Amino acid sequence: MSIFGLSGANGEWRQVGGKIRLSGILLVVLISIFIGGCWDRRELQDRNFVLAVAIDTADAGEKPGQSQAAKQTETFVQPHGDKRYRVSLQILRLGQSGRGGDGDSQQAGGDSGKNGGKTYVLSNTGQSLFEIVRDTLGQSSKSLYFEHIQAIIISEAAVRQAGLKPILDLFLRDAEMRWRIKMFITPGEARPIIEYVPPTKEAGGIYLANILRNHPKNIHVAGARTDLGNISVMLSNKQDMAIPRLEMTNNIVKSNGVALFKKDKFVGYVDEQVVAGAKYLRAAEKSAIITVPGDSPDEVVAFELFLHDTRLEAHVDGDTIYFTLDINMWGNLGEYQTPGKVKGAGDPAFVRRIEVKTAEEVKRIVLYGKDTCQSMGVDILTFSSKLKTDHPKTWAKVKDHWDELFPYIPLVVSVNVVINQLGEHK
Amino acid sequence: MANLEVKNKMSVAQFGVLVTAAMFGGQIIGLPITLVPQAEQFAWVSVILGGGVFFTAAWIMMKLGELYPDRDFTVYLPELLGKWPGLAVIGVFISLFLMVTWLNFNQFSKAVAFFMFDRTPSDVIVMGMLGVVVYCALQDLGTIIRVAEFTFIVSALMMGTIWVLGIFNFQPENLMPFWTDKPLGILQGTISIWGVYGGYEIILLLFPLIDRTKGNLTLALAAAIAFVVVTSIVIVVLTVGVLTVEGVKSESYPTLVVVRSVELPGTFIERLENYLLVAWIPSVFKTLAIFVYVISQTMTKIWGFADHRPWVLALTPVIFVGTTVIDGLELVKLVDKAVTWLGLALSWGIMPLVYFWAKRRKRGVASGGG
Repeated sequence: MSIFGLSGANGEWRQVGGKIRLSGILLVVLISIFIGGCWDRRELQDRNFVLAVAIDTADAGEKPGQSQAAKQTETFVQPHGDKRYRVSLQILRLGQSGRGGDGDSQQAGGDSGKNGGKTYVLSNTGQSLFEIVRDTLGQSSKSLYFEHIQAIIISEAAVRQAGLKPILDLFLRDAEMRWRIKMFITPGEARPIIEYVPPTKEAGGIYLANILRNHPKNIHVAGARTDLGNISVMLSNKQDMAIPRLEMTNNIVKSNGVALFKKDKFVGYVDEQVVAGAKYLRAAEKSAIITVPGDSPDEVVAFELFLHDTRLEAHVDGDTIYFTLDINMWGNLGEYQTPGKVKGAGDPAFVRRIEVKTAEEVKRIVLYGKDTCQSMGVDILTFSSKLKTDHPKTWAKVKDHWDELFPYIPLVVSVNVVINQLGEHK
Repeated sequence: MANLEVKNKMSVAQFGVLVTAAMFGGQIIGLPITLVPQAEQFAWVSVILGGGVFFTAAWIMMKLGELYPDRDFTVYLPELLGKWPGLAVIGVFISLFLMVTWLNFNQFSKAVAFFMFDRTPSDVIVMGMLGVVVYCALQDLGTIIRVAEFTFIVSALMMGTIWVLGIFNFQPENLMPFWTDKPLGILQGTISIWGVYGGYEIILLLFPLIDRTKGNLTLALAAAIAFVVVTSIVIVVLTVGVLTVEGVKSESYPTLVVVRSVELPGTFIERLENYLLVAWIPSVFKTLAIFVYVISQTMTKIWGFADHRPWVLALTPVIFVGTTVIDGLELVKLVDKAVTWLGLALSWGIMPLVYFWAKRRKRGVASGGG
């Protein structure tokens, strides 16, 4: 007997049984799809999507011209702690972007909507970021929803107060947060940055996050392994770290350089060249433009990196610890600037000279980055983790006084560059 | 094609799937947080050693079953050990499965409430899950096997596909150095992961129902354990490779964080941890359904009932109350530890002794010594 009591000997019945069973399975799948849902659902338009968060000290990041009374209104009576942080939330304006003066903008503290933007900003002060966020609901007609948060911008002053960990604690604990939230440190105030309306009129949080997503093409931007999740892992491992610096001047927003942290304590900023050096050393670059002088001092040749093979190795020789870095780069000659002259770049001897100069330039940038990090005592070069993985017994001996050793660790750099193409126009 | 009308027998292959489904369930999500703090980057070694240790335990139970091919442990244990000692061992078995069921329900409801339904009381989630689990456990064995086969394949495929995406953030150096100054941690890890392998004990009850005329039961058991070994290795290697050892120690749900860290540019699919949880629900469901069936069937046999269904219904409030009583992190940790030790005691204390005793008795009978 087969299923449904039909005769197993009858092939026709078996086929019918099979069809019925298939229909049954499809029906179950369809029913599961359509009855899915939950009693506490909340529609999209009933949520305030937070796209970016700016964190300043409580006495900074105010709305221009904000009165004392307004400051008093936006905050709350705090049973514990101090008024330490100002948390500003950039919220997506659903449906009515670019039409300033509507209901939403009236409730907004900082209204980038009046400039045609898609977001507005709510702000509040306190110490527990969670308490601040929940109290900010007193300024909002809809619940605040963090599932789509893209960027967190922290002012240098805020991070200097008590380090990075207290600020990030909420973002690391709450299940609503994303692991790939982009992080920035700004030397000025953080709030004006989330009030910035991008020229594209896209939502500011997305715009800021996408700046860092360009890092594979921009050697000056540190976007690899600087997300919230990476920072969480580095905090757990008590590692030093770099967080991209973000600056806004005269309505120009730019990520340039990084803020260096010893564990979670802010140490200082370094420029784009240090970022480039660290990226070469950590093999974090996907592409790069490396410029070197041509045959005469006013000439500039730009090498475009396409592929590299980078090997950083730790060596232990008796009591001496040193590192070697071997880099092989392949790429194209991307640009040849010869002011006042018309010159070709097809001469093989010239190409060889540029290869050598590019290799020297990479070496210089790597050593500049390494020396700067060592002088600041911040190991973003992965020397400690490399020593730990390659020479665990040596690491066990030196880990307690690594901070004293690190500034004096030598690095031997060897770079080889190959130019494969001269471009379409030689 | 399998004969779907057979309700109280199963093939060797079906038993292989059933025992895999029993093992691969609730505890799989919590594996790294149990194991990595002890074995660190060598968690995968503990998993392999655990596979060997628990396969041996399952093999001993199978061998014990072979000594009494037509009877389950509720029949031969009282005969072999005497009524009360036999019942005491059966009591350990029931307590173990009951506590594992409580723990799985508890952990499942807490995780689902935390990640998916934060405003739904976890007791309500337990009620919903308990409803479907009880409904499934009320069916006959043939139906339960088919449900387990279907849900196991669907959930394992979905979970595997989602987990493997963690490879995008995998850093091989996080599994280094290939050296440790805590070798004992690896061994401690080996025994502390009983919860991941726990479930093979169902062979004690189901052995007489396996049609052993076709197929190799040892091979089926080995394949089931191998499946859990491979999936567990993938989980711990990926988790440590993405989060580092210290990172795993800092997370409450590292397995979900690994999946959360995946971004698929250009796709609308995001927050993959929610998909993983969705795939995990049927996985927990089928494990719990098997456990509830096994407990109720054991009770049925002890008390001489003809039908296991009254016992499923009688167990429902016990499961609900037990699950909800385990409240607070400390109590969960305590019950987890108690379950692990009970599981180890049954697998590596009681059952090997019983097996050797039974073998000696059989040998005595065969040689006429009585």
